[in-house]
Amino acid sequence: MILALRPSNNLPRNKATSAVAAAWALGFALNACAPPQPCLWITNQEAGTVSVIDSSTDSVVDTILVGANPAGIAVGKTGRDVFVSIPGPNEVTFINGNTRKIVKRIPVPGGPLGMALDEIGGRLLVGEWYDNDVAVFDTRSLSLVGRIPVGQAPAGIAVTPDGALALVANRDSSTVSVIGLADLMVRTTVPVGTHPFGITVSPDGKQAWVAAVQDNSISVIDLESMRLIRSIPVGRTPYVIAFSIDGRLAFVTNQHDNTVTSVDVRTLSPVATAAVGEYPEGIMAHPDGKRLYVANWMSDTVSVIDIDGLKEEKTVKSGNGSRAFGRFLGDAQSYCTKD
Amino acid sequence: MKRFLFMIMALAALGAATDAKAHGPSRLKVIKTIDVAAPPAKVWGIIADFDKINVWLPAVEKVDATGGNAPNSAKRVIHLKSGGDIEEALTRYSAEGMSYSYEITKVDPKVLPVNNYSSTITVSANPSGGSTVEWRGAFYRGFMNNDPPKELNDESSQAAVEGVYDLGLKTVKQLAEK
Repeated sequence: MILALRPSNNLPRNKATSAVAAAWALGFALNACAPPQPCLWITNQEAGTVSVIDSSTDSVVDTILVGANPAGIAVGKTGRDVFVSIPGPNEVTFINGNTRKIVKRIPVPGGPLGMALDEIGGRLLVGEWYDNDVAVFDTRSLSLVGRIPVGQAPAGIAVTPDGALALVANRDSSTVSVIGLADLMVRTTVPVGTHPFGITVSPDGKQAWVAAVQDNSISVIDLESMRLIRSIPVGRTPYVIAFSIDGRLAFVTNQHDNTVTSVDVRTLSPVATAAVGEYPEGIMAHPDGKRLYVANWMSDTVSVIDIDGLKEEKTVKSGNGSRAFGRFLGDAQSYCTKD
Repeated sequence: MKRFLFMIMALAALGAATDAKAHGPSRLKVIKTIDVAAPPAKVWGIIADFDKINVWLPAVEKVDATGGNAPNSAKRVIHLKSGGDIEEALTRYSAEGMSYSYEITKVDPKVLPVNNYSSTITVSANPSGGSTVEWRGAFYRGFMNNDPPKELNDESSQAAVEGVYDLGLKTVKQLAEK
């Protein structure tokens, strides 16, 4: 909780955002037991927009025009920093999550797609699909720190909770690059199932789970031994993985089955399957521990899934081509309010 | 010196060419619908057989197919009038839902500028008593790398698929309303 109250990065603040932060901290203190109700930031690739959904009502409260084909998303813990990757025009758009205004468009020439925030180090990692590297930006100055060569077609990126490692799924190499964030060097490269796309670290930081799209499986990497320890068969063309808040379950979107499969993290075996929209991609658990959100690319919707019964309980119309590839909500954002 | 520079450039181009991606980062989407003044059963009858796309897609010269309408086993090779073949596999089939899905398993981007193409066609009843046919596809553009040539970029790939869908749906309508 103390961590959640600490500003998560060093971006310049204006008076308005400080006031909101203070009000937010007060609200948080008053509602210490209530789970956060963050905004969801859903990239709509065909529409060229980002839908902002208030998770307290599960309704769209704003639509931000970013242009072209937004795909990847990286939202900071407090929901103030929102980065959107737009591969077509080769840029990453930085949105102030409080004002919902575009602050800057950052050129990233090599086809930016997957992104992850290293909030402890104050850095944004952006995979350059065509250039086979990860571009590293300082989140304060938004300037390029360096580029780290990885495998072919870097897709998903994840950072361990302690901020020590970044993991990059190299789609066309069928490997995961493990980057040490202290020196921005590749420590090792782990072979995984065919065509890995989404990658997510378990909440305890001990494993990385990778969706192997063309192997119809999840590859589980042990982060101590840096080895592939299990391949779990799931649905057709799995894309992105999320964990429940308590870390007991993992969930994967199966794009060609239009389903989500839940997997028991202890036994590493599939538990249940829920029908969602068509071509589900981005998936994340709500901090209340009860709900899952899934972006459906073909259906232009977001599915709200009840974790208990693993059943879609609501569908929210978002925008054409909803992908939300990446962390699309800030776990510690109390309310989805606007400055 | 000039020749040397040219050689370097040629080598660089060669390097880029051998580094072909499985596909680009952005999947494309085409959804086309048409209203038909005929009952759904009649319209479904026209498109129901996976091995008879030549009946309702005039660009098709002939079809060689195996497996009937059995998902995950039925396959077809479409021979186009303009030359070139497209190989496809049936992935989902519901006579009850009047819908099926298939994927392209092999195509030259010069024939149809797409990669990783999958598609669904569905007939449903509409409020006016007729039918609506929806054909939708998901695919990547014909060119895998950055900076595609015009004929293989997002717009051209999308336009090519739209052209196929428009032609097919228009023909289904004509046949059903006869």
